[in-house]
Amino acid sequence: MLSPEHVRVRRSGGELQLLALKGALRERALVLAGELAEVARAHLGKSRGELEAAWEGIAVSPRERKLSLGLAKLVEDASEFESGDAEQAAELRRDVFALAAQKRTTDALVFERDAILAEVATRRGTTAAALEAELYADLRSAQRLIACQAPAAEALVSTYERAQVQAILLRAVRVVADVGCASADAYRALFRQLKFRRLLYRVTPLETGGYRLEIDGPFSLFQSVAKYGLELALLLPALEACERLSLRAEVRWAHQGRPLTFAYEPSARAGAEAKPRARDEVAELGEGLRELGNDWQVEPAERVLDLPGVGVCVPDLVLRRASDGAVVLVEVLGFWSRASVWQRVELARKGLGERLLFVVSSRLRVSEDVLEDADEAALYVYKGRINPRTLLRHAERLLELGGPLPRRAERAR
Amino acid sequence: MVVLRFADGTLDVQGLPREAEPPGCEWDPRTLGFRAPARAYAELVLWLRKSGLAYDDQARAYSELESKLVLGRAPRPFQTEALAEFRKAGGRGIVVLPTGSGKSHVGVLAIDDRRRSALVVVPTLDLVRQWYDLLRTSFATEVGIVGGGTYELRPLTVTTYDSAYLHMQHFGARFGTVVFDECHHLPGATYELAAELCLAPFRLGLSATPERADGREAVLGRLIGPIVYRRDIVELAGEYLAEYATERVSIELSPEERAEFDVARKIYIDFLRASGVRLGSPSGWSDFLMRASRSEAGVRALAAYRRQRELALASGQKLEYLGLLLERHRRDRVLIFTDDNATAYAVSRRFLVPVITHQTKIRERSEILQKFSSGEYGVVATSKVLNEGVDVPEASVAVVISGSGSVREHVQRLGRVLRRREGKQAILYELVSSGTGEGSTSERRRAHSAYRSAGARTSDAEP
Repeated sequence: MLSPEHVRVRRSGGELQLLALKGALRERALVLAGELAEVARAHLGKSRGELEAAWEGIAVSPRERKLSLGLAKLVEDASEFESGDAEQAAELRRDVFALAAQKRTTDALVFERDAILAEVATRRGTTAAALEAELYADLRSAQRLIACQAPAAEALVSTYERAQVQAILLRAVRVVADVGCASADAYRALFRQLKFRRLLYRVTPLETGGYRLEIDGPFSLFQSVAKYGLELALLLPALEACERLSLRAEVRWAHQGRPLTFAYEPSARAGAEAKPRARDEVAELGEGLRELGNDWQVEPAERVLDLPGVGVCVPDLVLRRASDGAVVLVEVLGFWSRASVWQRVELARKGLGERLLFVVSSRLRVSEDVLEDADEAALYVYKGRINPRTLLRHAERLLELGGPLPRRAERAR
Repeated sequence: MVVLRFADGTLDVQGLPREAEPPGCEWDPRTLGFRAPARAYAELVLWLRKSGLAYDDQARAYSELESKLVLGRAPRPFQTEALAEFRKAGGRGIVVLPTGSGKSHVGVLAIDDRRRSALVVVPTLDLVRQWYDLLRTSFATEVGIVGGGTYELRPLTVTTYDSAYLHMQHFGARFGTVVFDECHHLPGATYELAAELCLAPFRLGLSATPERADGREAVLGRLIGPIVYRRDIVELAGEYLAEYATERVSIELSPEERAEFDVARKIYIDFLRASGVRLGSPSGWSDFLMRASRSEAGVRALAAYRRQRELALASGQKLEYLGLLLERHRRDRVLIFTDDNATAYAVSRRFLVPVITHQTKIRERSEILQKFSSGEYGVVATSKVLNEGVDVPEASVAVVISGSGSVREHVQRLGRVLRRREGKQAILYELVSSGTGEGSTSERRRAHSAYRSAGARTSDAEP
């Protein structure tokens, strides 16, 4: 990951802004990327120290300095270095230092450095010069470059542009992301990442569609800390996988400087790359329900049901009864884990404020009775394939049994 | 029923009404419950008890310490006094004792006194190794280590500040006592979290010099507790610490070095004047760096600054003089300190002495220190990694080739040769390039009673 010294930014008021690479500077970046990779490839078999010195030798203007350092870091990340034989170097040092220590305390004459090196070299059947060169062959600067897989210049510059955003988020104390996903699975993937990264969030629906996620960590309640910066930076790919993303981060950029705001919207191309679609089983179920041609209308769900402190539920489908407009949300868990079913059961018991039907394979060995006492949710456990008719029967029953829905906040308490 | 959970270094408190006012807690709208830093655990539990509220404590994961102190070493009077004051303060506080006087033993006594699983947090891997040995022999039990590529938790565990910052959110509930060795490291945006995310009700800080240049030692009271006991070098020298002298040696640059130094310094000073940067101001250094990155002249000025500093800190004349000192002390145990790794390696190559830097692997560090202790090696060079963490009673000579203006660093370096041994007379040499500005750096770092007291011989000498 890049560090602040690699990132081209400017401060404008309370804003931290990335400096765009465009026009002549972008051309120059492409040239530099090519040169840095070429120099690296020319240094195969040579030391890291020599490579770094050669990179230093590439003329760059002060304006290009960070760009050059950042690109070099990415080339370095794409390269493989081999350490010298640490055991052998340590053994060599042991011999040299032991003899030197002995001579220093026992010889009355002036300390003779060259004589000591020559004596150890003779013992080891080598020359003093070779011995001196090998004395610290295990240091980082002495590591040998053995492979360089730096991508082509265009790809390297693109990687640099994205890596800069992550480097900034590394210093973030809080991120507010407005996201919009095209499928329930995409939302689920995002919330899985949030959970995996042990981040906390607040979810608010946006009037324009999608959701606002305010993301930070448990301790952020008391103090703005950059401790969660690495997790926030690593979350970026999951956020970018959303079809729409607009992000604002509070960043501690300078060591003791005031907090700055950083805004980021990826190019449309980046979001489109990972455009999600419904899982096959959900698509098939939707199709099957439509083919029944009865009182129920079916559409993909675009809702995130969040119960703070308990978890998130992202339904796949919305079933709407045409006769009275009653709604049942359907989440297809299929063959997921038993743990995911129990989490839904807990959510249902705490109250999600919606009627939900969870569809689970019998292979997970969960009984429909588990939610027998809940009036807002039910389980449909299927064998083999999901039967649309049976599913609708569960939905009808859920509407029959359930009374008026309480407000979510009341249930949550 | 109130439920207390340890949640990533915080306490998640469920089951209290929104109107409740539990101490140290805030309402967390993300989880619809109260939350507190794990540090507030003791205070919160006492409040719950006092309020008569039933609670289910799922947070506490620490245990009674089964191992007992088996080492029969009698504490020195000041160590007993320190422990008594720590107890009196409810098991939360800082003990300030000079390096070499046996601070660690106070830590061992406190762990034994509290009888809870304990975590010791230290700044360097060398200190991890030292505490590991100390706890293992003191309690005759296996000791865990987190840091330096090892992650093994036991009821007695040693870790570094870096690892504590990274992992406390995971294991912060597993220890009832936490000892912050060299606790002046704790204040700061990152390390402070190691104390905040730890649930331990009992907290001991150990330091020779808790004061910091940025004044942030004030937060130690919140993170650990107040200073409960303090003794200075001059109070213990002679009886509990070795007698010592310090000698500052002014060294001229060679004519070639002087010429190069003057040229480089002029380039850099001219740039400062032309750009209106005042290095003495609080933002002076960052202003300089910012302006230096914007023009060719700035780039040259920054390079010139680095070169003149390099010449002052590691002049050829200093290394010549070091050769004389090594001759003079050829039968003594000598520690050589530098400000940077490059100089430490240069000393190693030139005088064929072992060097310890952050790049030295743990096994080789241990071997070097063991041979230094046994006398097989008479000299060890280092940059800053041994400012804290080497415990060799036989070491009697310290040579500071270069260093920062930090009082703490300078006192710690002196402390490395102060461990008492019968008949030992320690000496610290400080090599300063005259006419370079290094003299004022030296003045800043000597602003401590250890360098000013009548008991300490201090002399300036020309080579």
